[in-house]
Amino acid sequence: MAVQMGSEEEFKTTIAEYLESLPTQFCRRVFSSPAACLAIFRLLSTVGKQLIMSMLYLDAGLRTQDVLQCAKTEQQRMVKAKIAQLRRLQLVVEERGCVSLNPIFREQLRNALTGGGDFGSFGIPYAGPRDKRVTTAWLARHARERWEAILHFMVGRSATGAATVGEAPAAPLSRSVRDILRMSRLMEGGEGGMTITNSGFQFLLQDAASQVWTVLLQYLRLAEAQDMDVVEVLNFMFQLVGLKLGRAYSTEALTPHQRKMLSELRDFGLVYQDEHDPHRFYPTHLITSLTSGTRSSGAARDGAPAQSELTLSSDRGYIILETNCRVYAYTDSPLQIAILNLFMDMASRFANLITGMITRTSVRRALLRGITADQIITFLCTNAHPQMQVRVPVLPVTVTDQIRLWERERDRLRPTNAHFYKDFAQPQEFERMFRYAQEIGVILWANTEKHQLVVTRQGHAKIVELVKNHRALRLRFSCRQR
Amino acid sequence: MAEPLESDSSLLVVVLDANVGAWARSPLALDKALQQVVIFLNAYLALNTENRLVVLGATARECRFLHPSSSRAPEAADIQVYEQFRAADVRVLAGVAALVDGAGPDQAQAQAQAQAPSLISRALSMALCHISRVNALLTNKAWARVLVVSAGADSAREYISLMNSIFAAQKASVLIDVCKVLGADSVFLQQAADITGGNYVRVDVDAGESLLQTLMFTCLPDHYTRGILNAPYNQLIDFRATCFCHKRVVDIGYVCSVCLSIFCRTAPVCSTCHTKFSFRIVGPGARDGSSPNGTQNTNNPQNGSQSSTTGTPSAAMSSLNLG
Amino acid sequence: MAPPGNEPGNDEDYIDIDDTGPDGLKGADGGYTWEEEYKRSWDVIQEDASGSIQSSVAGISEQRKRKRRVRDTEVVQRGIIRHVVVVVDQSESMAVRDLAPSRIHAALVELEAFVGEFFDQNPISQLSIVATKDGLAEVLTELSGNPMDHVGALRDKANKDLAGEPSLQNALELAMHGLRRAPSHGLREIICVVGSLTTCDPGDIGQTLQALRHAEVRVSMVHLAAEVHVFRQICSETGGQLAVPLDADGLRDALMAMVPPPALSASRGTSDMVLMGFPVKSVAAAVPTPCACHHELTFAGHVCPRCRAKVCSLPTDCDVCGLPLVSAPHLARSYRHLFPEENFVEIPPAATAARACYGCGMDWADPQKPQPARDAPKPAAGGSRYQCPACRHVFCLDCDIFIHETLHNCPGCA
Repeated sequence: MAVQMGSEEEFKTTIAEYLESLPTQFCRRVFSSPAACLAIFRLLSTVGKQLIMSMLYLDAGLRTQDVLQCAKTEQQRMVKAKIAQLRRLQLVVEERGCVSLNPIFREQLRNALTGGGDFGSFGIPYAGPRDKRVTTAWLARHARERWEAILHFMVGRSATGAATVGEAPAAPLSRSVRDILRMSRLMEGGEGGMTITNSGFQFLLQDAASQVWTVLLQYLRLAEAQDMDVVEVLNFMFQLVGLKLGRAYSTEALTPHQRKMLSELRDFGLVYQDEHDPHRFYPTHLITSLTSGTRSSGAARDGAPAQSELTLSSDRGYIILETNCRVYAYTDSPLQIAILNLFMDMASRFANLITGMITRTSVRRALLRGITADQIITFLCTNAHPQMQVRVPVLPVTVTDQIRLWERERDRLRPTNAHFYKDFAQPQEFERMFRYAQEIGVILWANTEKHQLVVTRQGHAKIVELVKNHRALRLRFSCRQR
Repeated sequence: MAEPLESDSSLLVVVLDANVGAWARSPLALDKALQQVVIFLNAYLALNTENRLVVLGATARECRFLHPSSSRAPEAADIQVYEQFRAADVRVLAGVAALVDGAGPDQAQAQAQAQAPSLISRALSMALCHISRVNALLTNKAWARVLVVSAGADSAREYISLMNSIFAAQKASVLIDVCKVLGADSVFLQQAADITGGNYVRVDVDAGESLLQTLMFTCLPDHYTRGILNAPYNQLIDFRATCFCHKRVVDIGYVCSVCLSIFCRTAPVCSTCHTKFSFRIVGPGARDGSSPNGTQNTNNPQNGSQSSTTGTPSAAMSSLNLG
Repeated sequence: MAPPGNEPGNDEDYIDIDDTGPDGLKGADGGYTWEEEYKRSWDVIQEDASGSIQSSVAGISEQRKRKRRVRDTEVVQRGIIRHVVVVVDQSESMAVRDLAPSRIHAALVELEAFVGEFFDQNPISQLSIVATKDGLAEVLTELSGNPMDHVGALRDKANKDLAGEPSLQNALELAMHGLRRAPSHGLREIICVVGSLTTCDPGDIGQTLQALRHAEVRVSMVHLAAEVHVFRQICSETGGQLAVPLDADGLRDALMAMVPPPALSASRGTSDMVLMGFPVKSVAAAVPTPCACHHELTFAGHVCPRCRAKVCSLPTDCDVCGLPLVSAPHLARSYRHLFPEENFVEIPPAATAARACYGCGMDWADPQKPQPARDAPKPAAGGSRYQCPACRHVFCLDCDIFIHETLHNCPGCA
């Protein structure tokens, strides 16, 4: 789980970074919706959430010192960093040694908890008759099909993937989807011959929630480029995240921009909308489970177990990895096989099982495409068979170490900015500089016989200073002599 | 047990004391308090979508699961509220209302019941059953804790079952938080919080303390966050015993070696289990027949060990005749 | 396929700890166990229609749970205050590797668990550890109520040095000597974990046996190899039990069976009033003061009400005046042995109108647990309900087990 969390965390920072980069004026508007406040709140770290909740019903600010005193001594620095992060997100204001919540955010988060504020912030349900056909299971299947079609499209165009995948994606992808794939540099090339890029390969190895976030961020950038109102897009996005799975929502109150967005998100399978009935739409689990981390659960909150059909097929563990690097994957999905093929050598394929080996060549092939060892390990870990999940650690250490070693093999050269000194006038001068550089520990390489020296850039500044001082001293000395 | 991770979800069981009689004496009315508790529940659910919430209502007569329950929340959508919150809110509010109404139309009976304290130990037992069951079903265990929002007084009848629940909770590393809204400090619940590592807070509404703020500050952090934050109160809990014969707190007492009843002075026969004692006091330096502690005044022995129901477990124990 | 009429899983998971009489060795057909046809554990597993064995496995685990249901709930006098000496065999015979990784390793690991559980259930009891090797016996820990002392001694590497033969007589004499100090109201017990089939004694062990009986010491043994006549005799004549576990699980079960306080025999000795102190936790002082137990500087502690000495943890005996110091919850921990919860009665699902288990509040039909196949010989796993005879509330199997094994009070009656 720890590894899984890592990817989520990294991904959370990306959306956080985006929010941090928004100007204050924009932030205010984003915070004006309870749904957005709730969604942003959920993306915070646990400590950040606790800090916010502690202050939510306080009207006065708290002294920063007091807040820090609440934490154990060894954790205070971490808490301080969390407060700084909240400040960057403009959720808290810190002035005169006091922290308090951003008043707009505080009011709207209170509204989110009590159900006040902006009318219909959490969507307006469709009042018409129910569509019997659309159930949560059906929606999950629909979303999965759509999403896998996109992934399929990506691997389908890869040079090596084409051989194994064979089949073409079920439905041709719409233009907006392809635009986003190209915008985000997950794929490149013209209309006819789009090929997957290195970041595309990395994308494939992520879990579904991270993939969806990547796409949504790209969508925001695209909206920016098209001069759409980013705040409107963001707010609608956060609203979608807060909707209930399996319920129909009305499109009546949506703005034209939001309708356009809806139709584009439909192509990704994030929402479902019947073409003949444009007045209602259904969110799918791909978007409603976004703030809940990777373990997807639509129904889990009522004490009912998560239903297996709600998870993406790739979310169910199917990979068994042995200590001898042999891999058994219980899958018949061409997509999964293609993804596995990125970093392992296939040996045989059966009706519901493929076997293969992780070898140095296969891992290096993946590394050359920009996939990192950590990504491979995370992927294997996330998709490990339930029988493996119960073990600690999940993957055999021998294999994970080996994959990391293979990665490290590749960066034997490390570029460092440096300065090269040679042709010293006097050996003493070299000696002096060499000793000084040694003392302050900036030597990268030195040859005492040839009197050559390489120091880091930081070291160079200090050495220049030394030489200057020395010259000045000598000059003064010679003046006095005269 | 492994350390809690940041991403781990929690399981919170809230035990709500819905005893009308107790709340009637409170400066904070039940419905006001309930509103604040509901906001707290929403805040808890907002922390993590995978957080599980169970709410139990306890009165003097019964104890019921309010959420989740098999009764369906009305579909009529209140579009203002986040879907996940609404189900819990509606059930809790309706459930408490049903419990309060269920106290019965008979006024006299209701009055009598209102005087009796709520069945907190029953609720705790049910909470622990639920937690153990849920954790048996889950592949990755949820970190569980119990929050008792209590308004009533301790009931001596409950002592043994409460203690059993506390030890079971301790064994399963379930924290018990206690929020005492009115009345005197509850000695039993203080012990519950102390033994299980939870927090015990007493909200003084008269002094302007807010129930909601206290809940948010003290009872919201999960297992992971509690490893980072300091415990808010570091009260000293009195673990001294009360003797069964005179209901006095004793420093040094005589303990029956068979049933562990505590007495403040010697007797030939144990009044709880009717064991006949040999004529010597065991224990280094014990003086036969004298009061063990100078601080104890034994002039006025009350005759209450068999009939009285206050103070200590003696009432429950005396009903069982051992050996 | 399992023979008809033979309940699946019945003989595989059943470990007979105490096969007292010759009947214990009899198999299902009346002959000796070793005369029966060999049964393979996987034969009882049946595939269902879809070829999955999940339901069959679930059924077996369900039955295993059922087996744990029925317990002894008679209200009897129990020896709550116990004084136990654990004798550990450190002879060469403990190096045998029939338990993984070796007998001594397995024994020490299980004993550690035993010590933890023992003090959990018998908080005001005391324990001591004696080791025997090379025909000698030595005390590893004196009688004390602090589990950490004993766990520390068990973890000591030196314990794994094995030598020579054990001397049961020496060990018993030494243990008895230690127990002599114990007060008469407490129960005196010796628990031996032995791997050797021989004992190297200086004198007549029969006399030791007489002395044990005279001192009312109960001797129980766990033998890791086989039943030895003299060991059996010592156990049965002192009122103890002899267990010969088949594997590591059996060893654990045998030791855990000795954790709950044993019932007292009617004839047995005296009851006393025990003088005990209930110390107050001292406030964390600004300046650390030395504690009486470890002679180390500490901030907080418990102050003995009689002599004002400070001790670090409860329960313990005051190091200065010897007063037993406990806190009220320690006494409360033992109440559950005095008032055991009554066994629930199994009732058919139709006999109750309750929609959900009273304990956990969950519906009966459990969607996640695989239901056993319809043609399974036993009633459906989720089908049974269990009713408390006192309050008439109905519970599921999981709650029934939790209530009786961990919680010790019925939610309905509480």
